[in-house]
Amino acid sequence: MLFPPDFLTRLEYLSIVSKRVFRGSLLAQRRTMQPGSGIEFSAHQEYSPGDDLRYLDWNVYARHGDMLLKRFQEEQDLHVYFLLDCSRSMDFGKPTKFDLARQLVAALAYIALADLDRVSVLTFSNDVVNEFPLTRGKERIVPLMRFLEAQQLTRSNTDLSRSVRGVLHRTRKVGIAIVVSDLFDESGFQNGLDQLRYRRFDGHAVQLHAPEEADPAVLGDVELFDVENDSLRKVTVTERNARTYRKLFDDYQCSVRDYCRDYNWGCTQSPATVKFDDLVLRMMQESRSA
Amino acid sequence: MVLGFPTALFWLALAVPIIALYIVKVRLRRLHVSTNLFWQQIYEAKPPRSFWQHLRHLFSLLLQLLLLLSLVLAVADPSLPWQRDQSRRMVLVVDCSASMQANDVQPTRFAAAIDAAHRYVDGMRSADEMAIILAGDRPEVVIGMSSHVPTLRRALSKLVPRDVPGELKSAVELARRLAGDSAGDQIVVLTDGCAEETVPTSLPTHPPATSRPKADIKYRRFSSNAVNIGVTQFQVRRCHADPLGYELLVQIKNASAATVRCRLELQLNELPIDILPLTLGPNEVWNRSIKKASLVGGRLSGHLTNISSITSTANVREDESVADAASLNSLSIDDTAWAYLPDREVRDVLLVTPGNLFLQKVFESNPLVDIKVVRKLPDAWPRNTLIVMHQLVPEIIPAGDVLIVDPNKSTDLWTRGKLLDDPIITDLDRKSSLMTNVDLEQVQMSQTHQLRATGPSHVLAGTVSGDLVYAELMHDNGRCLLLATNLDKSDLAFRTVFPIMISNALGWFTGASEDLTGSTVVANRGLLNARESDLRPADRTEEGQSRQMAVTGWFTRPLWFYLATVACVLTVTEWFLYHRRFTD
Repeated sequence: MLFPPDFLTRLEYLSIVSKRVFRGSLLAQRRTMQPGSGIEFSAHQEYSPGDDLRYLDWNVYARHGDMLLKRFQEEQDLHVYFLLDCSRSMDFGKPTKFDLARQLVAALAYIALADLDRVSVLTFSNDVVNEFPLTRGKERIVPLMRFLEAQQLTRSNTDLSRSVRGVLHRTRKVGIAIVVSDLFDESGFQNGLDQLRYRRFDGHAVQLHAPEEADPAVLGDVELFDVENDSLRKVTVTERNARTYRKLFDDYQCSVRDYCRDYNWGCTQSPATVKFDDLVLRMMQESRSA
Repeated sequence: MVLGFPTALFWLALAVPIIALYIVKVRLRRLHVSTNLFWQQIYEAKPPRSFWQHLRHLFSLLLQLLLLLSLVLAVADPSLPWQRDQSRRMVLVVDCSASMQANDVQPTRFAAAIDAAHRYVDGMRSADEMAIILAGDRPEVVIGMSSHVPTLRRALSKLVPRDVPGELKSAVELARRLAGDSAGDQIVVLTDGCAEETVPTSLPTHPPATSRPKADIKYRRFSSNAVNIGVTQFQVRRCHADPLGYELLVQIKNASAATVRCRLELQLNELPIDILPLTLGPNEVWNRSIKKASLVGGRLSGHLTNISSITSTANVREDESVADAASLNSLSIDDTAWAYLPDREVRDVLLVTPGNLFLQKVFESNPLVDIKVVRKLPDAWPRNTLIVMHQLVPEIIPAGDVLIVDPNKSTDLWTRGKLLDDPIITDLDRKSSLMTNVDLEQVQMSQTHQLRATGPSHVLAGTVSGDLVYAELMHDNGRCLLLATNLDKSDLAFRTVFPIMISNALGWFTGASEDLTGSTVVANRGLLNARESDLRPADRTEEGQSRQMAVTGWFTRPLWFYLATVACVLTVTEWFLYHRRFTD
């Protein structure tokens, strides 16, 4: 069962932990720096002729004779976009990467909804497959979970660049983009993430992998069957090949970390064997330490 | 080619499952992967499954089939026609004499010979037969003609060298009889060439044509020009003249070209009695008769110790250098010899005499005598006691050993006659041990009574008139000596012959060897063989030949052995290929 009966209870626990312990460092209570008509005082500004006198700080003028305008920070709703990979490569591991990814999206979405943020979920493989439109309110978690539960894996390649283009067409406001995927894109994961950066999205990459992907316990003559494109390749896997594979895999993981660090993105890499709530807590810790 | 077990070829049917498994193996195991992203990078450098990779599977199949063929043929025990026609019969004569324990050939000569014998057994084909004869002091057939290799191996492994001289001649003769008349039979003598009757000087592989038997004799020698020093003779004997004394005959041989210095340590019952420093020149044989005295007997042993060589410089002064004792003494068993010295028993003697100091003292002076003197005839005669009766005699001589001197009356064994004034002794039995070193012709025996034996007697000394002076009388329950001389009137007691006579009589009563004149030789132990102690082979000009003959020829083993070897090589090759697939 993807979402067990106590799933919502565990989500509530994570939400409380997020607010009280980590003080919303992961998602919630983010504010734009744009001055406006909010209620939160931001700073003083020199008065210029033509400025609205309603914002003149009369107390300062009465005491010191200085004409200063009070500026307030404008509160805006935070838009959180979850990009969920539903290619066939996510069907690996026990439990599968796809299951963990859906549980993780549900958990993060609940935390965001609990902080009155707007949440949208888009599944993709070589393009955007399905969309759960922007929504708000904690009570929307149930329809979101039903949406996630209804998602199926596609038989197409992962094309993150094309999928992000599709996402950008559908979104009007920038916000936080959380990409949950294995990032096994033959054309490279950087193109897709670059497009999000260019549109000033704050980003967080969650890369999941199965243990057998990191260390394939296979030697000898085998026929490699790529589940995404149904291609076959007859190879002889020697110990040297296996060592090279492990090195390439580690290098790939390292390149994802380096990319996120270089562009100030959050990055979480984990095997699919961990529990979703442990992973969420780890993400909170990493976000606060960052 | 002829197969010993043709039915083994049925095992070739195993080729069917091997080929079937090969065909099944070609259908590769399918492995689902989430992405080819990494595998593609690995294999884009070289095209996957190159021509060699395809071929090596076929090569591997061929190796496996060859492996099966080799094993099946090995089990079938093939033999070539010429091998089948020329089934060999071989008799191995293994010299087990003491010199084979020398360590100049590592580990020992005997071990090297046994190794060589094992190689001969290894080279046996199925139709070949082999017998093994052990050549010690007597030839011994260890195992008769047999083609069962394990039995031959077991027999060889049980052989041990012996501390005896080798008798190769009779062993070779026995081998000839065992080999029979078949042409092509072979006798191989494994020896060190140090036996008494041993390898011919030129080491011929064939005897002279005139007396050539049908079996060829080959000698394989396991020896080098090793040097040795050893005890070659060690004998001990008791002296009858000296009740406590014994003589030791020692012979030591230096079988080397160097001057050797050593010590001979003599021990009696593990207690040192003498140490003799010796210096023996090249090839010198040292002989010495050593006199010692001991009442007690036991194990008398001699040990050679502190063996070193002396190297003479060009000048007069000798420069002594202690060489490695092991290099000078390749055989250790002849460094020690021992012999058993018999104990001297103290004899209880009861002297019944009215009084004669000479007679009493001649017994008291003998350390082997415990004498008791009484003046009159006792009521009861003690047992296991030599009874000496001087003048006083009973009417019936008691049982046991009795020496009668000048009896004063007749008894059941003799009658006493008239008085002889000056009897002239002419009849002496010089062959008797009782008369050793005894000459009575110059002795005056006045006032001697005429005595005649009533029963059978053996006269040791008699007068010209036929009267006995000294005689051995036949006695039912013991031995009896009768001396008719009047000790008080004659001068016998003053002569040196008197204690000799008494000493001979004591030895005779004790039961000492009568056939050896004046000595007792006892069994001795040790190697004690000059030829065996000399480790240098008899043929010193042919040293290199032993090594040449020790080389075993090629292709001497049966075919199955080579097939099994090929199978092992194929297994290793296939394992290498199999392993390479996973490690390369």
